[in-house]
Amino acid sequence: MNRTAFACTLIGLATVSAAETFPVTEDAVFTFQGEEIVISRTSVIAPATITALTQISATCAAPCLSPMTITENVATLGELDVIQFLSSKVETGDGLLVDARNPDQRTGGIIPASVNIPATTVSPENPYRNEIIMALGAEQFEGIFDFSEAMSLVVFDAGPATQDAQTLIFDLLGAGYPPEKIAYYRGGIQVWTTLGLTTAEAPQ
Amino acid sequence: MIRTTIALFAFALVLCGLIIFRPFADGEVNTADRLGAPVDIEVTRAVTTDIEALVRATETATTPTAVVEAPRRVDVARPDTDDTRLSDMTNNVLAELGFAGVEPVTTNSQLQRQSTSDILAGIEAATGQHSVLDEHDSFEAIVIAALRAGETDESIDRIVNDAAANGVAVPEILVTSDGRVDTSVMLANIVTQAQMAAGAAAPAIPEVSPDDVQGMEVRVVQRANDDVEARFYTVQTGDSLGAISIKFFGVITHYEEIFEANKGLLSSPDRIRVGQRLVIPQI
Repeated sequence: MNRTAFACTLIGLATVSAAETFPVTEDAVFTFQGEEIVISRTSVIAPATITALTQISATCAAPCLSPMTITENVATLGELDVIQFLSSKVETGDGLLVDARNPDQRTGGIIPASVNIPATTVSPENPYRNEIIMALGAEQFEGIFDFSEAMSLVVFDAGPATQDAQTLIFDLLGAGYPPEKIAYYRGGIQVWTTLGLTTAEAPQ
Repeated sequence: MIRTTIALFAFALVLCGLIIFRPFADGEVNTADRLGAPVDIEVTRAVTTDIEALVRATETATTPTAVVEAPRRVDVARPDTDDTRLSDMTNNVLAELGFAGVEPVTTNSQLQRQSTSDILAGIEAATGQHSVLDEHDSFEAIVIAALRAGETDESIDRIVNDAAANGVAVPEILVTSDGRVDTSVMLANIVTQAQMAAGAAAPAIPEVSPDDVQGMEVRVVQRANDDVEARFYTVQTGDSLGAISIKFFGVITHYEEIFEANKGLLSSPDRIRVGQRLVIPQI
């Protein structure tokens, strides 16, 4: 009953002032780099933003839609799971929200507390691949990685119609990263933004 | 007639009897005994090891068994490569050596390094864990140092190949069919690009014929309107894609056309093997 009243109040407020923000969940508040970040929903999303985000990628000729499960043992997450991950593992420093897009795509806005690791940089062709994997908490001994201390990762990209997150995940798995430490947020920035969830500016 | 019938009947009777009674079977297998009577087996450790048994066991283990050798392609070890273009690298070598009018460019290798350090900075900002990007000499720096020191061609070849053996990535088109770094192409290209920077024209396309180029073949292919000369080249020991480009076109830059024309054969420009028959495209 209380909830209904609350929801009705919210709807009422929303009609009064157009651009109202809503709290998503109680735990959608976390500390990252010493700053408190709140994930909320806004009721108004600029049509230009949606247009920009839903542009079909020129690099992908086929429909390019990502499957729901990209590979066995790698979980696919929704927005609430991502927020839960941010307020638990990312806050404690045990996890990292990874943005697999190219740095230039991030100028339009990022998911707060996400870190950029462009898709192709973990491919075996990159001579600096090992340095990136070690920065994720893996230990290297005589060319073999130990992932027991490695961070949990949630990987996303532009949205369900791009393959960057999958490329990154497959390259990480190829390097030996344990699948149970990787999850895939299929919605990506496209779904995140169109839901009106808080975005941040990419750090310079 | 009746005799035959009786004989056949008797034969059938005997056959039936044989099937039913099985007088020659080696006794029925007793299903109850199939698993054998339960016997207590105790596993113990002897105080002293039975050396002889151990020796015998290892002998049988190491006796070679007939192994069927699968036919496999013998491939040579190749130096590491990166996406740096030889022309970019040469340009930077000339710029570093102070050639007038040559501005340094950012090579793909430097871009990769830059993007990696950006990624590491991002991760560090999020986790507070500091990670270092190893400072190792680039191929470019090694070539510059060798040229500055006035080394001979032979010693440059040795320095460059030692560096490649230690994991320094080299441009793809310098990798030869026997897994070395083609120093002569690298040096020839430095000279060519230096001359071009000084205002000289690009080297002319050399006249080649199968008489003076080993491994070259010319075939006349008939088309609807005219006859086209198709040129082929069989890769020799020590050839790199850069060397083949210079051989047929005078400059390294046409390696791309050669590579494109032979994509079915070459997975990447550094995977060139002795005996491969390459199509030499018309430019």
